Amino acid sequence: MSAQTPAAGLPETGRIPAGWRVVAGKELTDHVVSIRFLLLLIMLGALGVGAIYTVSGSIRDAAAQVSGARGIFLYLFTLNPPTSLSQSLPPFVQLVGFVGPLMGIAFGFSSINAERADGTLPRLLSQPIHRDDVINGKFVAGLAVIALILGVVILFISAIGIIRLGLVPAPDDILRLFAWYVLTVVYVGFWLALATLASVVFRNSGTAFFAVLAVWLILTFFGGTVIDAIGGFLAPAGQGASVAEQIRRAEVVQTLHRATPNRLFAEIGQVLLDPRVQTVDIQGILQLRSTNRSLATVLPIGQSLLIIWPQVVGLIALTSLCFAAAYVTFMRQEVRA
Amino acid sequence: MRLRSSRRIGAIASAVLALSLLTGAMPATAQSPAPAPVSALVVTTTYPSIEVDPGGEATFPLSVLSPVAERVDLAISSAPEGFRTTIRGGGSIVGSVFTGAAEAPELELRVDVPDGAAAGSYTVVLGATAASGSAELAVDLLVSDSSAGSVALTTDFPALRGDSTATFQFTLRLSNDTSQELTFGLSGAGAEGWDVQVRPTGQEQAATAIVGAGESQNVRVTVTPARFAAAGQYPVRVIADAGDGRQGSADLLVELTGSYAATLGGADGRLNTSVTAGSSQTYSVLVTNTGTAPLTEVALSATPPSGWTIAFETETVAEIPVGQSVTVPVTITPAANAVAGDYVITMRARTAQVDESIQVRTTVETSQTWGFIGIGLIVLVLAGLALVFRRFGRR
Repeated sequence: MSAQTPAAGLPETGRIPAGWRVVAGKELTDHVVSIRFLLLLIMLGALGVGAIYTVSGSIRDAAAQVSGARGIFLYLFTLNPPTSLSQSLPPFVQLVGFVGPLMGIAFGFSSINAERADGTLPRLLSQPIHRDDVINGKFVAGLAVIALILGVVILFISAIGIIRLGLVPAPDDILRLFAWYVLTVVYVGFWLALATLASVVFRNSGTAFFAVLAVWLILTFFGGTVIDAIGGFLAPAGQGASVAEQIRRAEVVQTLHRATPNRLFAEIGQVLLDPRVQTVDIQGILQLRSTNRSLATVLPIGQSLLIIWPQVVGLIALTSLCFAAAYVTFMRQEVRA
Repeated sequence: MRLRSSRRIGAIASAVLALSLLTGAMPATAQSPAPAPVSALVVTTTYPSIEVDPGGEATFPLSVLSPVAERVDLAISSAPEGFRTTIRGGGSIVGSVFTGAAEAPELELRVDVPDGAAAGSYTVVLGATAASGSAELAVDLLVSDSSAGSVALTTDFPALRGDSTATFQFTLRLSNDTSQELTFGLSGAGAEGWDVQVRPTGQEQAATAIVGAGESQNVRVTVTPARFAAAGQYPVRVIADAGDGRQGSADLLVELTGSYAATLGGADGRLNTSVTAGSSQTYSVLVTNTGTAPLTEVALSATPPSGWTIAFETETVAEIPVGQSVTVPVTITPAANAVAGDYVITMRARTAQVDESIQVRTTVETSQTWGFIGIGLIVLVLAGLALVFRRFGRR
């Protein structure tokens, strides 16, 4: 956001748009023409095309087995490549879980503190807009550009999938993909909100970047180990532990894991993009196993959404909390400092 | 005949020996029966009539007995033209013999029959003259016709059974009962396309066999049926010809049992095809009868992936003759929602006897419609991106 006056973008006639919309429009312009946008688009696009190409190849090889199955199109996004290609890319869902946070961080870590460093924040706030329009508009612009990148990439690789498989997605598949897309935007939005919070808290954008990056690294790479350790402490199940103890420990670990957006997003992907998944809970899986209900059922999207609803709510809550923290912190800050 | 004669003599000797054992008598030899008291000079022989081939010889053991011990002069009083006669005794040709009433010296009359002797009965008269009187002995020679028969081709197993892939081996005995050594040309003939090889045993390349007079030789006949000979009975005639109308023949029989076999393949040799999703493709299978019996009611079927339609133009081929093949077009229509890629379709041809199957790899290619939709989507995305740039890209 430069020091240009928001009024310049206003239409001459009609209702004056809300301040946050003006800020968001300006911010979006900045994002779209930035190198960041191009790099992220190309990176995610290339990774996605690679992943889709590998997976569609293995689907083609097994065409006779999968033909006619429900939700084949979604396999394009979720299927692990065959083990013989262990060096190849992970499925697109995992790629997004991995690269998505980087997008959020990239578009958020310098949103406030860069204005502050350039000294343009007081001039911006001298315009006839509310103070919160600045952070709201910036967040919306970030979300919009993220949604743009994700949408373009998903549509692009879907088109490649259609060409490779000779198969159009069923309406149910499209709905599932769209729901997953929306929730992906929310997930990346969490990281955008976190990065915005860091940009509010830390005056130096470099510091903010590394702070968020540290959180991402810990959650992505070391979160599992740490949470396992905590779970072991809360519900000890050492050697010779009974089955009940082990289940209890696994449940505690799962619950702890669900405090992280990564896990919530992964579970959402699991359920939404595979109509055959009936549960992700340990108790539920055990129950399915013990009652030997191995019959494959295909769920409609409504049922899948019901299954994953707690995770959806949790993810939205985490994102909202994070943004609320950034909002409150920003509102309480001294503008001219 | 010589062989047969000696056999006959041996048989007589053994019969006499058996008789003598029964009676307890002890005769000196078979040729010289126990002398009986005679009242006058007598010349006898055991078998006064002998059959003989032209060029052969006949031997008559003689017994000359006299009431008193005296010298008896022996001479041939009459013999047919060309017949040579000799009287032998004690290893020499003799003209007279000293004999008495008690014992008869060993004597024999040998008659050599000339080669050209016509068939018929000839009489040789032997005269004996002594002081006490004279006697005559007439012996008959029955000369057989040498040109007719006497050459035979025989076998113990004239019929063999097997399928058309087998080779049949007959063992025949070629016997030459003429009085001459003969050279036989060997030949065999079977049905059209059959290979009949006739060889003397142990001589893989020989086309002729030399068989001595009165001898025999084994002949091996190897019969290879025609490649696609149908089941049935096939006569094989083997001829051994020595010229001059002297030939032996044998009629053999090969019974072919039918074998059922078939191959299934792609008409152009390929076992793969490709089809565009949403349309159909014609592939041709080739059913070949490689057996030796006609295949009837050949049912063609396929196990396609679910949702596919595999339609043979002819579901059941009524008959495929031996060695023939039939091309059946088959229309392959993939399922409407078939994923592009490789599918394996098992096609099968079966009759009551054979069951053959092939796996046809079918590649489903993306239909143009979906291809255009995919490309259209990409174009749409790029256009949308361009629109976003135009709308927000201007500062």
